[in-house]
Parts: sequence; structure tokens; C-alpha cells
Amino acid sequence: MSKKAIVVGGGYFGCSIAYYLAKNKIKTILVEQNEVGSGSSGGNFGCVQVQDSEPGLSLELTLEGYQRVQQLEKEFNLDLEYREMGSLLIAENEKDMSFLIEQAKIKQSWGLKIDLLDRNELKRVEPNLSTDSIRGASYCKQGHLNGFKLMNAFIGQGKRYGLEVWERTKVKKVIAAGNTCKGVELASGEKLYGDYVILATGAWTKELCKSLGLNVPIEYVKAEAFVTEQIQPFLINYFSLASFFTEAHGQDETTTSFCCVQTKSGNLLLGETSKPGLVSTEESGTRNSREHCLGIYQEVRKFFPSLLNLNILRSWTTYSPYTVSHIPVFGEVEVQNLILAAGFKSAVVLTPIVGEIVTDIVRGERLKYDLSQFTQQSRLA
Amino acid sequence: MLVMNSKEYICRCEEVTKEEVLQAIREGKQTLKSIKRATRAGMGACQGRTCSKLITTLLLREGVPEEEALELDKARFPLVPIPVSSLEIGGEGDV
Amino acid sequence: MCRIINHPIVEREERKNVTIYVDGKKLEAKEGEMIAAALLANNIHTFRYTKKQREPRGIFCGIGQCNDCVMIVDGVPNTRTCVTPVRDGMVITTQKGLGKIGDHNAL
Ligand SMILES: Cc1cc2nc3c(=O)[nH]c(=O)nc-3n(C[C@H](O)[C@H](O)[C@H](O)COP(=O)(O)OP(=O)(O)OC[C@H]3O[C@@H](n4cnc5c(N)ncnc54)[C@H](O)[C@@H]3O)c2cc1C
Ligand code: FES
Repeated sequence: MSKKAIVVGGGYFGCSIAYYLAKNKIKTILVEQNEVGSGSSGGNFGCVQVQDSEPGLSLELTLEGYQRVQQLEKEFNLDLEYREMGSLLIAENEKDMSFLIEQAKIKQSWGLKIDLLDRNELKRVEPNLSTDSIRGASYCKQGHLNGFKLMNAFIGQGKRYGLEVWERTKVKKVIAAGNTCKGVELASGEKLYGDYVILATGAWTKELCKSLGLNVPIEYVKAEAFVTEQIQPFLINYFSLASFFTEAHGQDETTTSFCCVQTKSGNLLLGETSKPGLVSTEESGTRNSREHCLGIYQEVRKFFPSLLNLNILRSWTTYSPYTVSHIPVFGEVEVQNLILAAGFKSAVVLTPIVGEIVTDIVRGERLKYDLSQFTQQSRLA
Repeated sequence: MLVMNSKEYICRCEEVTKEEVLQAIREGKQTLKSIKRATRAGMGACQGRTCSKLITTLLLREGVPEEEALELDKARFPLVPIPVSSLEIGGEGDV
Repeated sequence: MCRIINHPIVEREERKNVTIYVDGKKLEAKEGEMIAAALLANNIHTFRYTKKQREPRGIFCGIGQCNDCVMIVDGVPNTRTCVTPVRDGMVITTQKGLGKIGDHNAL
């Protein structure tokens, strides 16, 4: 009899995990409280990020994932709007620059090709950038795709292998007997049982694990974003600030951090992450704040003043999961038959490899990677 | 000269045809939001002002339950296009 | 030139002529009227070409809703001509696909 798996959460990871499981003949149900892509994955920028990855296993998986993402259009025979672009991490001061230099050195030793750029070189790779306030940058190749198309592809292809997708279905709690996970209880009261439960619930993971007595160190920041009208290619690279890593994801720092990218359709996506701790998942918590409007305006004025007349069409907010240690919560934890897959620093790039690894776990295969460093941080209280 | 085109556009901004919208509905998309995400209809310059009613009609015609077919995509700031420069709104609170 | 000279309800008011430049051609318009009206009066019906299929588009809703009538106006792409009044000396260009930031500087 084939094994049965329940995947909770229809973000990038839930979708990819469900796809790879179904493809490998595991009877899989994906349960999503709203619609697929209603979490952070529906509000992000679609970058196949490489250089942000933490040195070590995260980076190793990222490099593997990067190879695989590039093959997905062929595998699915679908247009995911995939293309290659550069990624710029910008330092505005000495502290951030030394961080970039140090990171580049370490990541180069892992085989990643990262270049450090001074202002003149920066002007060459990103001609419309106003470099006055910039100290330097690190540059690395990455990809970009349409995240909605990616999730739709995983789901659509998964369904061909028998994947069931239950949208508008909320998981109330994880059912465990002793230290073994048995299934999930839905908000409706209905119970679903399976051989494995996989929580790919992003920012919600910590809460969902509480009733199991499992302490999961996933925090989240609120992020706000705008999409502009479409214009001819203006921004060549994905643009983000090193302060995102030196400050915004610190434990209780209060810095915001700006990023932007232009999509294949010509829209510019402008975003800013907020302070941790200021979040609420209430309806009111989904509104954009004046503070971020001003923040994004100021960043655009500083870095891309010629965009100030460009029209904004829509805004949104989202909760982006992260861990203070910068490494994900991924793998089997102290509760048997429960797999956690959340808190990844970069998401899109890891989707295929995370899906494959979860499938290997469920099938009882020997793992190619030792995930213990990713799971150790989640302990039973 | 009048150019006749056999394609029927539902979303004029993103040039999404009726056929593409119907395809998305057949693939299980039952709300304006999910059709938007699958086809880009409603993502363009007018943000669905023109196409959303047409898509709702198609959803109902294809037998999608009213609860989903009539679900509006959330209206969000800024409601009408505004230049980036007009984000210079200080103060506290939400927009 | 095609304009309504006698309207059964709306009274005709005298308006000053202004000059606009459309794709390099010098044309006459009435002060205060919308660009789209001036173009129609000058027998111009194609305002832009779509980005995917490169099909011609002109006025559709006429009330600023649909964005079908957009052109590059004084260097600003995606300008809705049905709700943007003409200005003496205005430079208007047919938008082919996506507009470009900074076209203004090039003019
Ligand atoms: C502005 C911004 C830009 C970003 N840009 C990028 C980028 O370019 N590239 C990149 O790789 N990453 C990017 N990220 C990060 C990325 O968005 C997240 O890391 C990623 O989306 C996380 O995916 P996920 O599947 O873990 O979580 P989510 O997408 O949040 O998915 C979790 C899902 O679980 C569901 N869920 C939760 N609880 C329950 C429950 N009890 N029952 C049922 N369902 C439940 C939620 O509804 C949700 O859909 C960006 C983030 C932000 C905020
Ligand atoms: S014709 Fe619709 S916006 Fe001008």
C-alpha cells in the first residue's frame, strides 16, 4: 500500500513538497487555510536568490536548488517567466561593506562566484542607479521567475500524479499520540490521518507546533510592497541592501530595509521589510503603513530618482518567516513522522531540493544531507 | 480600415483573451484573485476596472458557485494610480 | 478637422487654439480639451500599439478607467490621453508597447 502524506501550507514549500511527493507515488493531500499562495509566497518578488544564502549546508542546498530551478520550465513544459539576472547587495557604510567582503570570501570558498564592486563598476552594471550614497556592492548571478506560475505549476503537475489540494481548509492542530504524529485536525473538526505530516506553514509554524510542546524558533517580519506600472527595461539586477542582513533580521533591531526588482512584464516591485515584533495577523495588520510609504519613497529618491514619477498600481503586505540563526527549520524533529519545512532565508531557489529531500524522508531513503543542524534548534519543551 | 480580430479580449491591459480565462476556470480557478494570478487578467494598468465584471460573468456562466464567483479581489491602496513621489506622506498609522 | 459645430444641447464656446506636436507633426488643438479629443478632431484614431500583439488601440472608455488610450506625453509614458488636457507646445508620441522612463530627456 502506498504511503500517505499530509502537507500543511500552500506556499512555495508546501506546493513543491506536495508535487515531489505525489510524483513519487506518495498519496498526498495539501491543506491550505486560504488559497494557494496566500501567505508570504504570494507577496514576494520571485527572485531565485543565490548570494543571500548562509554558508554551509544552506548554501550547498541553494547551489543544488539553483541548478534544478533552471530545469523546471523544461520539466513542466511551461513558461514560468524564468530568466537570469544579477543580484546586487548594496553597502551604504563601512560596516556593511566589511560584512559583504567577509561574506564574499567565505562564499567564494564554497564555489559561489561573487564579485565585489566599487561605485564605478556599479554604475556599469546598473546604469540607472544613483550611487552617491553607496559605498560598494557584491554581485552574483541569480534567476527570476513568476512565483504564481511556479506554485501553479507544482500544483497543476502534482494533480496529474493524484495530488489532492484542499483550499480554504484550516488545520486546527497536529494530532500526536505520545511522541508520534498521526495526522491533523481541521477547523471543521474533521480528522485526517497519514504516515507523515509536513508543516510548510511559514510564519504560522511556531504557533501550530506549540500544542505539540515543540519549540520552533521561527519569527516573522512584516513586509510591505508596491507594484508600479510597466515600463521598458530600467532595472537590470535585483537590488537589495546589505543592511537587511546586518540589521533588519537581528533579534530586536528596528531597521527597515529596501529591495526592488523589475519583472519580465516590466513592472517594478518595490519593497521594504519592517521591524520584527510589530506584527499582527489581524485584518488591520494587512494594511500598508504611512511609515513604509515614506520609507520606500525616500529609498527610491536616493537610489532611483528617475522613478519618482512612475505610477504605483497596488500595494500589499505579507509576513515573512525567518530565524535569528539564519538557518531554516527543516527536517524530522523530536516528534516522529512530523517534518518541518519553514524559516528558509531564500525560498524559490530551494523549492525543488526541499521537495526532493522531504520525499526521500517519507520514502525512507538514505538522505544525501545531514539535516541535524536544521532540526536541532526545534526542541520539545 | 477596420481590423477584425477573432480573439475576444477580456483584460485589455494585459491582452488576456476569453479563451485563456476559460482555460484557467477549467483548471480549477474559481475566484477573480486566482484567475488574476494564473493569467495576469486584472494585473495591468487599470487593475481590473474593466475586466473584473466580465470575468465574474464568465465564472457564473461556467457554473462556479456564487460564493466564489462573486468574491471581489481586495481593493488596496492606492485605489487609483499615483506617482511614487506622492508616497511622501509622513505621520503614523495606515494608508 | 472634424468637430461638432452645432450641438442641440451643449452651447459652443469659443476656445483659443493651441499647438501640439504629435509624432513630430504640428497640429492644432483647442485650449483645455483632452488630448484624445484633439487627436480625434485631427482624424487620429490610433494612439498606441499593444505590447504583446502589437495591435492598434485608441479610445475605449473615454473616462480614464481603462488605460487603452495611453501615449507618451511630454516624455511620460502610459499617460491617459482621455483625461489629460492639451497644453500649448505639448509633445505627444504614439506608444509602441511599453513606454520608457526618461524619454523626456531625449526630446
Ligand atoms: C517583500 C518580500 C520579498 C521577498 N522576495 C523573495 C524573493 O524574491 N525570493 C525568495 O526566494 N524569497 C523571497 N521572500 C521570502 C519568501 O517570500 C518566503 O521565504 C517564502 O514565501 C516562504 O514560503 P513558505 O512556503 O515557507 O511560507 P508561506 O508562503 O507563508 O506559506 C505558508 C502557508 O501556510 C498556510 N497556513 C498557515 N497555517 C495554516 C494552517 N493552520 N492550516 C492550513 N494552512 C496554513 C498559509 O496560509 C500560507 O499559505 C520575500 C519576502 C518578502 C516579504
Ligand atoms: S479611453 Fe479608457 S482610459 Fe482613456
